[in-house]
Amino acid sequence: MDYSSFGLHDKIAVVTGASQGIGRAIALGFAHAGAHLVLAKHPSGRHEEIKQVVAEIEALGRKAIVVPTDVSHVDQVRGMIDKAKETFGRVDVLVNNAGWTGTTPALDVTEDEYDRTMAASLKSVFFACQAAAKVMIPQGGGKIVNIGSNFGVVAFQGRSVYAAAKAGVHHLSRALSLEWAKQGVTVNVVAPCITETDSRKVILERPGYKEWATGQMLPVGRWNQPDDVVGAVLFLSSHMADMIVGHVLMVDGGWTIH
Amino acid sequence: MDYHLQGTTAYVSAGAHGIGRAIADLLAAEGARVIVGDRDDAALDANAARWFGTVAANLATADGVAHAVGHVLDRFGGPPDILINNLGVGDSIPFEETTDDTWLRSFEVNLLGSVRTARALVPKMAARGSGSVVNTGSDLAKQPEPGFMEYGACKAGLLYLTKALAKQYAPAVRVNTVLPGPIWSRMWTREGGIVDQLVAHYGVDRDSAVKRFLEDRQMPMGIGEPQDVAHAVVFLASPLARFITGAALDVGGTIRGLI
Repeated sequence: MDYSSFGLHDKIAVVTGASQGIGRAIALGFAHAGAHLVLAKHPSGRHEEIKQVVAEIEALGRKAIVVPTDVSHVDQVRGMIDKAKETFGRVDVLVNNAGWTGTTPALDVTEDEYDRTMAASLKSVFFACQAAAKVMIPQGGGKIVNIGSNFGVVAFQGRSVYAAAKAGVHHLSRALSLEWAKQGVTVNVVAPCITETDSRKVILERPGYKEWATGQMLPVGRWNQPDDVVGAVLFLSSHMADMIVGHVLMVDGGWTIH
Repeated sequence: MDYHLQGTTAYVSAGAHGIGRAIADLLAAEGARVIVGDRDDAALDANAARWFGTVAANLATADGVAHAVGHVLDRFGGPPDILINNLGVGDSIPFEETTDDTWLRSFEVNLLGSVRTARALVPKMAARGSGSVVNTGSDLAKQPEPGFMEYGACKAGLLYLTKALAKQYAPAVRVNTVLPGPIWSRMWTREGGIVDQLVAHYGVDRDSAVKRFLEDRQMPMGIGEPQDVAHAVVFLASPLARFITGAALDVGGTIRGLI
C-alpha cells in the first residue's frame, strides 16, 4: 500500500522486534512512508531475516541500521535509543513491538517465567519510552506507539502474566501521555489480536483453535495479518493524530466487542 | 493525505457545520463523492459546491431520515460505501431540570437519528458485501459529566450500537466510532454554548473559563479542531483500518475516565 502521504518522509523511526511478523511489517510500512529505520532485534537468531528487512528498506531508498537489543535489559534499551540518536541525530517515532510470553497455566508459572514475561513485555516498554522521551522532548516532540494486545483487555487462558503485562502497557501509555503530551510527545497503543506470524504458528495450528477463534471470537472471520496493523501504527505516528493521546486502538477484527 | 478513498461514495449526516463539515470536506478532498445531509438548508446551499450533493432534512425525525436516505440511495444507485453518522448536539442542563421532553428530544437527536439511518443503509451495505460506518460519539460516552446526563447516556448508547452493529454485520460492514473530547465547534462557541456555560460556572472571562476547565479535567491537549476528528473518522472509514471493527477511537479528551 502507498503510505507516502503520511508526512513521515525522512523521519527517524525505531522499531523493536523488527526481524519478523508485526515488527517487520511495521518497519517496512515506515520505509514505504519515506522514513529511515532503526531496527532492534534480539541479539540471537534471525540474522538472515533482519538482513532481508534491511535489504527491502534500502531497496526503497531508505536507510536502516540494526541494533541488536535484548529489550529485557534496560542498559540495552537505552543503548538502542542512544545509537539511534548518534546515527541519525534524532528520534521521531518509537514503536515498542518486541515482547515475549510463555503459555503456562497460572498454577505452574515459575518466578523465572513471570520475570521474563514482565521484563520483555512491560519493563522494556517503560524504559524505552523513557529513553525516547528524553530525546524527543528537547527536540520538540515525537510519537510513541506501543503494541498492546486484545489480551490486555480481555483475559485468556495460559496468558495470565502476559495479559497483565499488556494491560500494564495500555495503562502505562495513558499515564505517560498525561506527563508528556504538553511537551509534544504522544503515547498511544495499537492492540492487535493473535496474528498469523511464524512465532504464533504453533498456537494457530492447535487442533480446533482456528475454528473456535475465527468462528466464535473474530467477527471478521479471519486471522489478523501483520499488514493489518501497519495503517493504525502509521496513522498514530503521523500529524493526523496529533490530538490522539493515551488511546488504545484495537486492531483485533472485533475480538473485544464481545 | 491519501486514505485510498478515490472514487468511493459517502453520506455524511449533519455535515453542514463543524465536525461534520470537516469530515465531508476531507472525504471530498480524498476523492470520495460525498452527499451531505443537514437541516440547515441555507448552510447546505452556501457550501454545495464543496460536495457531490446535499439533502436538506430534519434528521431527528423518521420522515427526515427517510427523505435523506431515499435521496442518497437514488443518487448513488444504492447504499454508499461510507456512512458517517454525525448527528448530535448537547447542552449542559442540571439533571434536576431535565424533563421527559429534554430526554426524548435528546434521544431522537443523539441516538435514534443514527439508528434510523443505519437501519436503512447498513443491511443494504451488507447485502452488497461491503461498507464502512463511522459514528461520531463523544468522550462523555465513557466519562460521566453531570451537566450532560441525557447527552452522555445517548452517546453511551451509540457506543453500544457501534459494537453491536460491528458484531452483527462483520465481515461485510465495519462499524466504528470516534469519541472526541472538547472540539471547537458550534456546540462550544455558539451563544449559550459550552463556553458560555463555563463562564457562568466559573464566573470568569471566556479564555480563563476554558483554561480552568482544561486544568480541572487534566486535559493536556487542550481543545481540538474539527479537522482533528475528521482525520480519525476518515482513517477508520478507509482501507487502512481494514481489520478494525467495533473500535472506539478517543480524540483528545479521555485519558483518565473510563467507565
